[in-house]
Amino acid sequence: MKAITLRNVYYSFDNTFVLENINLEIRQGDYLGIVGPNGAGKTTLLRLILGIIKPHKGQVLIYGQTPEDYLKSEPIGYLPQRISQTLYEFPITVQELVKSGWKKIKKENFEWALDVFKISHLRKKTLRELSGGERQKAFLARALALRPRILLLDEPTTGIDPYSMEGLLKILESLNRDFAITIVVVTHDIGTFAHEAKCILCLNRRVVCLGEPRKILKDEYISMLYPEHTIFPHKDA
Amino acid sequence: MLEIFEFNIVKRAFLVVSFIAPLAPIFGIFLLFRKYAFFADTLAHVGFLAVALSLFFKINSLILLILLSIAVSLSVEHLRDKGRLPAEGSLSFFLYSGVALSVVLITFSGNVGSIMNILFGSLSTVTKEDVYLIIAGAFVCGVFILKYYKKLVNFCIDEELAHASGINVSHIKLIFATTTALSISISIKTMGALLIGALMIIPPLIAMQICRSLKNTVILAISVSLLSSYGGIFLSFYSGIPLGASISTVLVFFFLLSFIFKVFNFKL
Repeated sequence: MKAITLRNVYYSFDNTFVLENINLEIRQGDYLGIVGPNGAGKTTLLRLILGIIKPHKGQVLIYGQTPEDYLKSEPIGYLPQRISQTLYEFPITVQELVKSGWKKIKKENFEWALDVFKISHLRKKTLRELSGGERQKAFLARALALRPRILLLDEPTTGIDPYSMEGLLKILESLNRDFAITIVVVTHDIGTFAHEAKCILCLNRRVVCLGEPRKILKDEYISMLYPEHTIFPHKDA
Repeated sequence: MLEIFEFNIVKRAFLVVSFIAPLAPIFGIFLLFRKYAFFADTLAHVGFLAVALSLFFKINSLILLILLSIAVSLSVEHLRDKGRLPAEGSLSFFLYSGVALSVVLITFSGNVGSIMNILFGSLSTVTKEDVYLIIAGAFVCGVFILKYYKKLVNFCIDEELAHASGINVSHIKLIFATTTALSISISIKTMGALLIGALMIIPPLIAMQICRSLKNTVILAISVSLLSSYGGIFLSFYSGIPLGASISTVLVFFFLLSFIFKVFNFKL
C-alpha cells in the first residue's frame, strides 16, 4: 500500500529550485533514511509531505489524499529539527506535552507512548529538568501518542549521546517492525542509519540514488552526493 | 474601608477588572510561549494612537481602539509570515509610529492633560457604554480560549508540529492575533497603554517561578492577576496613583514574593 507518493515534484525558493523532479513512492511499513549535504532539500521534502509548503509543480499524496485532506482525519507523527531545544524555560510537564498532540489522546495510547520510549517515570518532570536525550524522547512520545501510521523525523539523533542514540534506533526499528509504522528519517548520520533503514534516498535537490543501503552507499554515489568528501563508512566497509 | 464601594466608578472598575484580569495573563502565557511578548507592547502603543485619534476626532475611543488594534495585529502577523520584515522590526515600526502619531494628534487636540490617563490607566476613564463593550469583548476572547486551548498550546509550542497534528495553523494564527488585539484593547482604558503589558506578562512570570506544570501556571497566573487588580483598585483609590500603575505595583510585589518562594524551593 502506497503511504507517501511524490510525482514530478518541483519546489523553488527565490527563483532557485530547491527540489527538482522528485518522484518517490514510500510504501506502508517502509523505513527510509534521507541523506544529503546541507541545502539538499531534505527538510523541504518533509515539509512538502506534511503540506506545510506546496509544490510549485507536481503532486504529493498521503494514502491517495492531499496532505491537507489526510491531516483532517489523521495526524502524522513529526519531529522537527532541534525541537527539543525549545520550551526550555517553560513549565510544561512531559505528561502535558505528550497529551497535547491531538483532539483527545486515549489513555492507553498515552501510556504506550511513554512505555515505548521508557519515560513513564519522567511524566511529572518539567522539560527543563530533563537531559537533551530525554527531551527528544518526550517529543517523540508526543508524536507516537497520536498513533500515526507515518513518522517523519528530522535529525532525530542531534544532540544525543551514542548510548541514548543506540536505544532510540532500537525503538524506531521495533516501531517499524512490530507496528508497521512508516518511518522517514532525515539525517546527516549516514553511517548509523545505513544499518537501520531499509532504504536510503540520497538527495541533492534531485534524487541522486535510492535503494537498499548496501547497494547505495558506494563511493561512486557518495562522491556524487558529496563531491568534496568522497569516503564515508558504509555497510560493505 | 467599604465606603469605596459607594462610588460608581469604583464598582465599574471592579466589574471591568473581573473580566479583563483573568484574560490578560492567559494571552500573556501564549505570547511568552511563542517568544512574542513584545507583541503586547506594540498593540498597547497602537492603542495609545487609537485613543489619541478618538480625542482628536471626538469619537468613541473603544470601538476605534478595537478596530485599529486588530488591523495592526493582523498586519504584523502577515508581515511576519511573509518574511518581508524581521518580526521584531515590524513590531518596533508599529510601536514607534503609534507613539509618534499619538503625540502629534494629542498636541493638536489640545487635550494634553489626558495623556496620564491614556498612558497609565484610570478609575474614571471607563464609561458605562465601555463596560458593555468590554464584557462583550471578554466573552469573545474567553470563548476562543476555552474552545481552542489545546490547539493554542500546540500552535505555541511549534507551528509545524501543530500542522502535523492536523491543526489549521493559519486559522488559529488569525483568530489568535485578533483576540490578542481585542483583549489588549478592552484593557487599555483601565491599565493604560504603557502598563497593559504588565498585566499580561508579569502574572505568567510570577507563576513560572514556582509552578511545575502548564495547568498550575495558568491557574496561578489568573489568581495573581485578579488579586493584583483588586488590590490595585484599593491602592489607586486611596493613594491617587493611576490605576494601571497601582495594579503593576502590586504585581511587582507578588513577583518579588514569588522570587523568595523560588529561593526557598517552594513548588506548585
